[in-house]
Amino acid sequence: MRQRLGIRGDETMTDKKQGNAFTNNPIVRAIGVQKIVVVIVLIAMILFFSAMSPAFRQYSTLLSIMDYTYYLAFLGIGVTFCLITGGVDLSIGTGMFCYALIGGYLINYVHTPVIVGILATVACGLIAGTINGLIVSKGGHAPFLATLCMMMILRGLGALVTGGASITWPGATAPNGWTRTLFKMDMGGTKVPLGFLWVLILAVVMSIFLNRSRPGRYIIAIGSNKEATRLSGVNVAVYQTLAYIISGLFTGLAALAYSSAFQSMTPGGGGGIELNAIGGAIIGGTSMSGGAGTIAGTILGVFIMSVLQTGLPLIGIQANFQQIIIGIVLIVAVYIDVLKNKKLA
Amino acid sequence: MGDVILTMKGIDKSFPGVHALDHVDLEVRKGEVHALMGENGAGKSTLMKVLTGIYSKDEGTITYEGKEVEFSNPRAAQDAGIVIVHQELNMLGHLTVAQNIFIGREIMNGKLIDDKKMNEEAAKLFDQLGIDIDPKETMSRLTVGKQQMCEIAKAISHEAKVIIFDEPSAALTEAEIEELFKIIRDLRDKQMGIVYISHRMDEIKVITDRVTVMRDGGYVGTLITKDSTKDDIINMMVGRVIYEDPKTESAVAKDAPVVLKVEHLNAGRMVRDVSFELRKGEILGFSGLMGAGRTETARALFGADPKESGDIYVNGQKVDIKTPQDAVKCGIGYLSEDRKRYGIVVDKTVAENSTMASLESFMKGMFIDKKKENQIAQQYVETLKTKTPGVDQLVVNLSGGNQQKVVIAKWLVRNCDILIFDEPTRGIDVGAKSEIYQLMNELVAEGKSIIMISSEMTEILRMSDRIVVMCEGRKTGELDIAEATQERIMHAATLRD
Amino acid sequence: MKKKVLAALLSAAMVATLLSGCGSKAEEPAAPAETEAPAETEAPAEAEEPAEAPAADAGSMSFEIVSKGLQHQYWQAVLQGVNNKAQELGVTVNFVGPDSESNIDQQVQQLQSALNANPTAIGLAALDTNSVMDLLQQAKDGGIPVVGFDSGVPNAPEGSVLANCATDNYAAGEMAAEKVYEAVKDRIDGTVRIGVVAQDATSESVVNRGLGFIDKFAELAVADGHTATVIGNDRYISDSKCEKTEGANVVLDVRVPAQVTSELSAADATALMNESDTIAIYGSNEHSANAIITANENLSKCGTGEGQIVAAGFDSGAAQKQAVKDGVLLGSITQAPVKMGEILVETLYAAATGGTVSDTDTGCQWYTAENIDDPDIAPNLYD
Repeated sequence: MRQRLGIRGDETMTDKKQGNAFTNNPIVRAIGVQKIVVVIVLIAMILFFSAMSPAFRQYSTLLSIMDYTYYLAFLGIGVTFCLITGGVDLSIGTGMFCYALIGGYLINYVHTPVIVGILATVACGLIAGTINGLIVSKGGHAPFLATLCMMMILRGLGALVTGGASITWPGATAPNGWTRTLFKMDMGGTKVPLGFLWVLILAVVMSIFLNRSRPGRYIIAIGSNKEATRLSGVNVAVYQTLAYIISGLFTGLAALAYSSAFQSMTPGGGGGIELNAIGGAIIGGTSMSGGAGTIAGTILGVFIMSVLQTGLPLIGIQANFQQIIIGIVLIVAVYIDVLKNKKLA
Repeated sequence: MGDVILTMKGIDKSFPGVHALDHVDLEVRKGEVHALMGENGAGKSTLMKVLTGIYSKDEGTITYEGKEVEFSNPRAAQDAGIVIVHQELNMLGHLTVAQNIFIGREIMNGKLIDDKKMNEEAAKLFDQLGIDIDPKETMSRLTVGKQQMCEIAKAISHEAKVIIFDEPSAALTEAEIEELFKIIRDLRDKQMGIVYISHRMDEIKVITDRVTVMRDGGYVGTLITKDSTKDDIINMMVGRVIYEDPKTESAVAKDAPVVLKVEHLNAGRMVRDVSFELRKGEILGFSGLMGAGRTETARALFGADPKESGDIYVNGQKVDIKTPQDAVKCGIGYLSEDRKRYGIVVDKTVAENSTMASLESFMKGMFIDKKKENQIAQQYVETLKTKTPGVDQLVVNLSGGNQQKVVIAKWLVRNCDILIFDEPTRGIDVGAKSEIYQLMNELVAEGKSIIMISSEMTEILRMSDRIVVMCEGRKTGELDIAEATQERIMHAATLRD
Repeated sequence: MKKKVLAALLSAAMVATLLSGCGSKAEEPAAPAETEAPAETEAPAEAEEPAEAPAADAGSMSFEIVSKGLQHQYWQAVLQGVNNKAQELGVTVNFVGPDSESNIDQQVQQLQSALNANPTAIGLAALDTNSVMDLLQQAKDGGIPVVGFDSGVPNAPEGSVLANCATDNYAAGEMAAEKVYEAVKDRIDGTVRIGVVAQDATSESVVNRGLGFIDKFAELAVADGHTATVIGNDRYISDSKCEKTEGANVVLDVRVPAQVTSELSAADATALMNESDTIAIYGSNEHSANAIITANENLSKCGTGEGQIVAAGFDSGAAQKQAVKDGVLLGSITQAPVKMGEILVETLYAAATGGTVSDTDTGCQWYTAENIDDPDIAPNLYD
């Protein structure tokens, strides 16, 4: 899968003379050291949880992991674009809830066709993303601040639109519950995690977009050296905005994935989920300081997060300890990012 | 002048590829103001950095108050009584004057900072210097001149015996300079040794007692100021030896068309009413001392910084350049003096950097045609003789000269006809330098036109067909290469209003 | 802190939109509560209908009601009952609640605003009793009667809360335990686990429903000669009356998520249902019951058959009603939220007019696939 995504290694900045036999191996260099490490950690985690809990070895656990992966993967893909420009989008967690609430509200209480609810959900993401992008690129606000404010606005907006009520999207057996089968299909009694297909397709598409299209190239260039990119005659504001629009669009898709997996959401919720997605991206090798990152890495990082979220409760770790463990994992991932930057300097 | 307080003898310092200091001597006496002069890059700052322990010396001795010393860091030098008043002010704008002066060595009252005591001490210092500054004032509200006074107060509060002023007058008004000189004379009369680094010939004559001149990292000589003329000093600074063959006459036909005309360009303090013309096939040299406004002129012209007024004509057509995009559309390319910050994207490949300014011509439908990108990049690697293992190499791994070639390739791929080279050979070793020179000559031979900003006199004289000289944001001279000499350029470069 | 202020402003704005929207246009789908409430009954503040008002000064009476939220449909049903009764009595009611049931600060601020409005009486469902102690004292000093509802205000200063209109949550939890025990008592063989999915360990109502279930289940098991213990969340362990026996064969396992979001509770439910010795699972409110239903979509373990897990819920909602009908849940406990809202306004009215008031149990019912459509059950269920 990694090779099909065809991403240039993010570790090639290591001078040939410096690396060791492992890092100089052409295959290793093509995939990237960090991604190989992540895959090894992922396998180790799966083996550990399997050994600790028989339940983890069941097929249903795969379904659970997938439920967590869909929405985190979409959030992760979107925010990776922001991170690569050297920015961040903190509004995605709260935004995901807000858009799902608005879409679900239309379906449940305005009785629009389900497709209208779905389109509205995605459209809300696009609008908020565009506003974020314009505030950052044209308004010159720090991405952290701009998207933090957007997070607060979306938190209030979700409650306002639904009148403060929680929203439950149509159930799988309900007549208009077909959205849920888009992600989890019942094939002769066996549930098939169809959503993974969508994640995979979108990951490949966005990976090609990032690496092969002109906007993708400029987004990477802005994160590496915004001023040099501007002095090359590139309209940096346009491409910076685009990164936030992509983030908003994928937050809308994540809202669909979340409502499909967990059905109900409460206004004001979703805060903190953005950190799981950003954490996944960073674990996958995306740099907090911009300029480097791959979609394949983000998907791998997101798997670490979703395996942790599924595995920790299964081995009987209490909720508050789960949070602590996930927090520690993120600190380690960010530290790796810091080390990488030191090496560059 | 009293006894010798500081002697630096035979100081030698090399960096990889550069012999920065070649056996330099400097002697400072108590109660003298000693000027340290030289062109940009002559080694003045390096010498001071060796003295204050920022760099360690390779050879030579430093004798201070009769004892041989070697400071391990600026703090140690400070504690011994040697302090620098920097050109760029190291001030914390949000803190008060007194808090700035005592930063890092706050006066304590038990566990708490004693602001009252610090204000009193600061007030005493200002009394001593005869300046009127309120220690409780917030630093950012003071004028640049007053801030400089605070730096001086901070310096003497260390019980300094030797004070180094690094181009102190650069940002000051006439009145402030007068006040500065008064203070410097006071300090001299208190038997301190003062090193005064400046480019301004007229100031040197007014304030200093002796002058030590450096050139290309070497020691040229020391003169008694009042016994020597301005021309003596300039001659020592530029030297008699010309290392490279200077151009003797312009290679551009008198009737060559004007490709770029700039009229009355104004942008901030550093670009004031600048006008010039650039002809087809010409290399127009921009000379001047550091901070003369040359880079600012280029950036304003390129749309990188906003300009206040002025007209720009490209091939006779008036153009409106507001952003770099507009400039690129007009066929202007800019090679920044600070490649790493403004020129290249260091952690991207040679190919990616080469096509950065012209990606639209590398598209195959929605996608970048990587094959074509690599092919064109490879072509320019060959024409420019860029030394790289391949076009997929990250630019960070290339040497300075080869990085510069990648930036040149970027603008050539874009097919720019007007190229602005800002310090094209800075940080590039000698061999690569002549390659860049050759390349520039080939480019103008092909009909491109070049504006070359350079602080190296020899580079200006070797490459330019015509020379514009700037000083403090104004154009102070324009010389044809046939009439240009180092002395004439240096005169124009030190002209003040 | 700014975040909270913003949230408070937004919820105030939200309530304002809700009320004005319903008052002006009957066909406008402004409130989710519309499904059960005919729009014209939702006009509490309309002054041109004084006809039914029993007391001359009822029109000048204003009640501030601070609930634990507005988000769950449950609160909307309470609001409906409140509005029904308010209109009947001709009083003005302002009904507010925090954005989420973990926003204790926000609720405190809303109560403060309610006090500042100087109402005739206040209805309160406290998220956290300790954090509203000072404000209750203020109300008492200011002579504003306070009536608790839903989870009420346990341990309030003497005399500051006149009465509680609430479901006896502990008793409701006990009822769930009786029904579940009945269904699984023959399967207690060797060590078995009874899972409890609880939304939090701070709200008295949620905690009491959990404790009622745990205590009753343990009591019944012990009576049949088994031994019982409680594991998991510390609050539930320490507050349970169950006598914990080392190596007991009936293990009550309580899981509480770090944050009230669906995906975290679903993970808790999944983990409990994945334990090989789990024979029953209970979700103590709609959120937790939904988490069990979500988990079961992947696991398909819930049911009453051999080797399946008997599941029971609390409250209603579209997903839960469907699950009861489909047999995923054995049954569920419903409170009578509409009735609770009505009783609350009646009690507030009585307190304001100087009548005597006393605690009222607003009742609960066990509903299953068989009786879900019965006329005495259906009105208390909401989508």
